[in-house]
Amino acid sequence: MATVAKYLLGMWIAATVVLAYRWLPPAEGFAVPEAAPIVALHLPLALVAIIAAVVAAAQGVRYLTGRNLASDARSKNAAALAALFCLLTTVTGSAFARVQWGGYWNWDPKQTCIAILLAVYAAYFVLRAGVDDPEKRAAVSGVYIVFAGILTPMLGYVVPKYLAKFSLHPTNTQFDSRYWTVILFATLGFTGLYVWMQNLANRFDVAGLVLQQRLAEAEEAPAPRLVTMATAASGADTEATAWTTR
Amino acid sequence: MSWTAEAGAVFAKELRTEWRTRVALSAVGLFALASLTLIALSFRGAPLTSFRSDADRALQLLTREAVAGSLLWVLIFFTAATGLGRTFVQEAERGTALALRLSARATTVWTGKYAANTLLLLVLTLIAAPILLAILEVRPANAGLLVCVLLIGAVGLAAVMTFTAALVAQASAKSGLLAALSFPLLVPLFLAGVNGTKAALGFGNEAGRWTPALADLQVLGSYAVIAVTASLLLFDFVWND
Repeated sequence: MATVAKYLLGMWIAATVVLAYRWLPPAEGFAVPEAAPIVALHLPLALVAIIAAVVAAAQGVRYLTGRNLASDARSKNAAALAALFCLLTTVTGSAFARVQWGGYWNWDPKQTCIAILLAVYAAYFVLRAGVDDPEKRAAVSGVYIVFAGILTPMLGYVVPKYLAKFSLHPTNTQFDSRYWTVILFATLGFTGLYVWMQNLANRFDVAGLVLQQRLAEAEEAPAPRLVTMATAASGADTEATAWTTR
Repeated sequence: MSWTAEAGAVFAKELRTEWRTRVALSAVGLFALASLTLIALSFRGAPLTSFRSDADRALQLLTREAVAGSLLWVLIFFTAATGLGRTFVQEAERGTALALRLSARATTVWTGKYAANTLLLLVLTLIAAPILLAILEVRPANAGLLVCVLLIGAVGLAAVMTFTAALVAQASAKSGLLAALSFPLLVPLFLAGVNGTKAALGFGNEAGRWTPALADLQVLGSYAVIAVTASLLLFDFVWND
């Protein structure tokens, strides 16, 4: 079942890319209309980055209320994926900005916001690396991601006000309806990709947590006995030693 | 003990311990002195208005007021990052965090330390800002507005710094972490603060009116309210862990 879903997802995303570059017409109103189909990938990537960011903050809250290390692992994985999708959004956006606005980086309000968001995630992972105790690390990073989740939405209001009065990003583009179809396709595909990656990383971390717990339990148990078995057949000097754990 | 009395006791304790060692005060003071000296050396050497060539005239768009506004906030941010991190780190170093945790509620601990930090930051800002403006030979067009912007800005800045300092105190590598953690969160405050400061210094506002900076004061005020509220809500989770 899961294998089928994986192959379906792969085909779905491949189909989306083919649709974007083979089926979409050039969009009117852009400097290079032939380059516009990248928008159909750029927009969904940004959307998935937002979903991942919300999941990271929500799982942070869940850790702080429930104190379950698995929630912290989910929050961490969501933050990593949010950073990844932010990066992909930046790359696709920059490539299009080069042909559309003439430069890879233009300090457009949305570009500024995403640069600051990337700085928040960088700080988050620096903070995680700095705390050794797993429970302390989970609490500290959970609190930081929630605090950032409360303060960073202000950027959306403040950055356009100060850095550029109006965004270079279009707000009234008359896209062909086929664009919205591909954008919907890509959103579903990338969301599926995100869910799959998140699930995979979560399972890995939870398995690690369970393993650590088992090891701790084994250490608490009475020390393993060293059993020496003198094997009569091969003589007294050859002893097979075996560890048994109860 | 009532909530206010408890917070007041933490505040008094913070000031007393700081006065005994004066570590934060001297570290911050020396830092501010060093940066002011650097700024003075570079700007007294080449006054901005002495540019002659056409290329340099384009630089004049960045007039003294704009440069002074951004330098002032650079100074305030790094001064805060040097000094305000001490509050929680010293509890961890001296091993007094546990005693404080037993004798006061989390919200009063945060409030007391926040009040002490705000006081420290305000004193430093009010000393450093006039010196910086004197070095750059900038006369504020509206001194009252400048004080308001710096006051509200310091209140919000100290809230974020005090809160992130509590997080940093849990980490093993503490130096430099405070600036890295707090800066991305403080960008909205800096944008409004720098803009308001420029207006107060007369950048595009020679008459020194209040109206151009009202929106900045609103942003600074709402940022401070959000930061204080979020800190009070979340501090318990870091402190009583």
